[in-house]
Amino acid sequence: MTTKVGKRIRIGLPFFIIFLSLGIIEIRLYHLQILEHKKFVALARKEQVKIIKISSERGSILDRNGQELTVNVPSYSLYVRPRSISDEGRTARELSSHLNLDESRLLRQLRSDRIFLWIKRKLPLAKKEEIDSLHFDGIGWIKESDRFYPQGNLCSHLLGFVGVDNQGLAGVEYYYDEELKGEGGQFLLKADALGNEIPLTKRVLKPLIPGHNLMLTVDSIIQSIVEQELGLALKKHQAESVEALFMDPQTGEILALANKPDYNPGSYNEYSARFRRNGVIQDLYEPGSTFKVVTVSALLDNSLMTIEDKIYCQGSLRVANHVFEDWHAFNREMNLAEIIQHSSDIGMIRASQKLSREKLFSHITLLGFGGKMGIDLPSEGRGIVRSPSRWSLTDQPCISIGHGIAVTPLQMVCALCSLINGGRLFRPYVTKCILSHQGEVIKEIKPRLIRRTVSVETSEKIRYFMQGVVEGGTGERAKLNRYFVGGKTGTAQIPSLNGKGYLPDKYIASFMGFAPVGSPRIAGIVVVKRPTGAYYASEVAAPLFGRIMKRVLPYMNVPPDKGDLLVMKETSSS
Amino acid sequence: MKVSFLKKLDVFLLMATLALTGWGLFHLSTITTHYFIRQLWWTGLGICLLWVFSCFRSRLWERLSYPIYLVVFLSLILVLLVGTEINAARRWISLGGVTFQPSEYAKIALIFALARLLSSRSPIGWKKISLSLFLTVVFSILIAREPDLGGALLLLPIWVAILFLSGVSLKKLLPLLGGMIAFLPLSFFFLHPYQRRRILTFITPQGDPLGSGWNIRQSEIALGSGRLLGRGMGGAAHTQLKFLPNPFTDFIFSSMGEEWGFLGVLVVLGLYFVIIHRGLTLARERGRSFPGLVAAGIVFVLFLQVLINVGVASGIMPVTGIPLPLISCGGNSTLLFLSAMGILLGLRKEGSGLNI
Repeated sequence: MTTKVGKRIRIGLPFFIIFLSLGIIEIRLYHLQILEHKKFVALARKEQVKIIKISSERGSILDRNGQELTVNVPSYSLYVRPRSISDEGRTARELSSHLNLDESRLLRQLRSDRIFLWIKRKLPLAKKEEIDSLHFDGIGWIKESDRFYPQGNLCSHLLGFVGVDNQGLAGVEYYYDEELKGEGGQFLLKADALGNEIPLTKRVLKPLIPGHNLMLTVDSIIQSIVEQELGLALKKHQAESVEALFMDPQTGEILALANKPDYNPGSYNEYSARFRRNGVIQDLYEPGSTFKVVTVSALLDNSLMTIEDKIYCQGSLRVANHVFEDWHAFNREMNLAEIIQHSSDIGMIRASQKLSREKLFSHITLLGFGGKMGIDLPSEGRGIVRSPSRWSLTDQPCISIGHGIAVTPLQMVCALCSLINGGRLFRPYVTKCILSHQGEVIKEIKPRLIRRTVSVETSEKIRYFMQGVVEGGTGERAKLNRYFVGGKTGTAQIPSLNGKGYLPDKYIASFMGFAPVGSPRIAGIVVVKRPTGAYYASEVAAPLFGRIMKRVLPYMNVPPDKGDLLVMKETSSS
Repeated sequence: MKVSFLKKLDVFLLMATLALTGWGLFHLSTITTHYFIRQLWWTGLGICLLWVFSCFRSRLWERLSYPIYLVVFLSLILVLLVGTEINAARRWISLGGVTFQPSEYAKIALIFALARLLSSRSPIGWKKISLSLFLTVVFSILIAREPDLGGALLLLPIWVAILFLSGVSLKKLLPLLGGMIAFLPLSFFFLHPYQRRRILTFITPQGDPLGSGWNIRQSEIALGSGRLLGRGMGGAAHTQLKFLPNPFTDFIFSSMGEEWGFLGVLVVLGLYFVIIHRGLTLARERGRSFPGLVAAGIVFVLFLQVLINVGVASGIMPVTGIPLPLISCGGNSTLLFLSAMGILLGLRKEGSGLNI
């Protein structure tokens, strides 16, 4: 026994190795926990803390009566975490069939090295439930809100539309994007390795501010009347497009703005750009005879002619090397009222010769042509008004009858309003007020007078002249039984794109007018572009304007000018 | 009698063992309830075994050592045939709801067998060396087949250590060691892909921050954010937020480091050192006898596991699933090490008796 115990064991080296190893471990731990702890504490924080961005609820757009033109509906966006999918094949196969996606492409995405991938944005709740019932792993949902336009195509050009991230892309949605979008919130919270939030760790970094609501000046009833009538006219005349704009002449508030054809803002990407174009404020055209009102107002306001002064309207008139002809040879003397009433080009050209170039030009620009009116909608057109120094000999006669000048329907209506409301040019606007999320008024947008234009007397005369157009003139078919309507027709040719001359057999028929003549409550324009068949404004545009007024005026509770029940019965039975 | 029993008892060894076990349990209770209760039962059973084995004499173990080796050998064969498969590895035998992991017990069985073989009075020649290597490699191969590379490789240092302590001449030992070290790089080509990946990840952890590298990175973050004094009881955020993988078993040291800080893990390592020191002291007292070699073997296994586990947790060794002795949650490891401490205590009592 003693020999066995006495055999010394070689314990020194193992002891040394053990001591050394533990020492190395201690040094390593000292390094990690003491020397570099800052780095690891920061890393831990970075991994445990998650910053969540929540986009705010976009404000609603209401019409002037509080009717909602937009609503936000909850939608669900599907994402995957490719690394945590157990069966990519099945997931790709079933998801692609449920969501109408390309299976091989999806499979490639699912097998990618990415940490996070959108599969499909903005799916409805029903779709989410359908997919949830299949129990995939590695997928998840983020709740978003989708813009929905409950009235379909109504007001489409006014409202515009939003993109997939709810950013305004056109119309009011774009122009007032800052107000509508609100401010997204930022939250900080702790999350575990699986991304689950830890309760009670949420801290607000930036509060969520919901977007403001907008109340428009537009009345959705008037708008829908206008849109209905435009739609019918578009069909009836097989026109390229029909546009209309109606305004409160006393304030500049836009009551209705419509273009046909139109689109549904909720699915805007299914329409071509032509459908989405807001011609009323963007597209330029030569106004034709409607512009005679502008020329006449220049003559009256500069006291160059009185209402009694007469001008002989012969069949044709030669200016420089151009021969002007009337649509119908009058061959008689007419005063200004008659020239407007029957839309005589010769009479207008001869009368305008009393104006100097500069006077005509300054009057045109005074009424707002050639510049932006400042409407609160994107991409407003300026129009083209060349400076008088560059006018040729035929330019002044052309411009006096609305050719050789390009305007937007919006400019025409603004000018008209100032001509009939006693000479006040208002900034047109579509937004009445900005409301808070709770509905309190944050900012009211008041009518803004741009400048005074013509005298009250001139304005009165213009109203009288324009009434004559409807009562026994070219605008007779806009006549109503219970209201006096004023207006002016315009049948304009379309300049060819190569810059020389006009397109044959292509016309723009327009009618601008207002009612009632005594104290105008509504003024506006209808523009029918390239109608087929009948093309005279008196046949195409005036009746359309009349039909709209006939429905809109009673809705606006405008007291009738002449309440002949018998006449009314006749019309209703016809 | 009572007094002499207490006198014979190695109080330091016992206290260190109980302190580590208790601390492990307490730490577990701060991060999980479910595993804590399970571990409580295993610990209770382990303490019973510790007490029972502390009464055994070394003669008994010496006589039982080959039979024990045989039983473990058979169970290692059995596990390959009927073992329960978890995560593509067959390491466990289910018996009435309790799973046994024979590879855990293979360590102690090998220590007994090698100690018996190499402690005999006759000088150690090539024949004995070959036999001892054979005993080791048989276990190694069987365990590697499960597959459990970490467990298999762990046996080779045990063999080297016991061979060295048994007094084999260095002329014989050094060529053996040289051969083994030369073989190591070649063994890379026999590894499973996941094992290669772990080693490659260890060499370049940034190559795959969310895969194998994730574990090491999270472990380092947990340790590093513990600083000097730790984040306090239950304050181990990184552990509790499930960033730390396997926080109850393979990476329990990291979660302790997060909760108790540098000072805490220093104390843990200190307690291990107490056990190692007592075991080696025992070995020195008993010389190249069976109890001496067994005592040295036991503390060497304990040391190796601590070294590897902590090395992995602190990012200086490739990831292998080696439990931290006496602390990691898990029945087999707990039973094994508490039993081994019981055996040590028994040998220690005997040793002090002999010195009288």
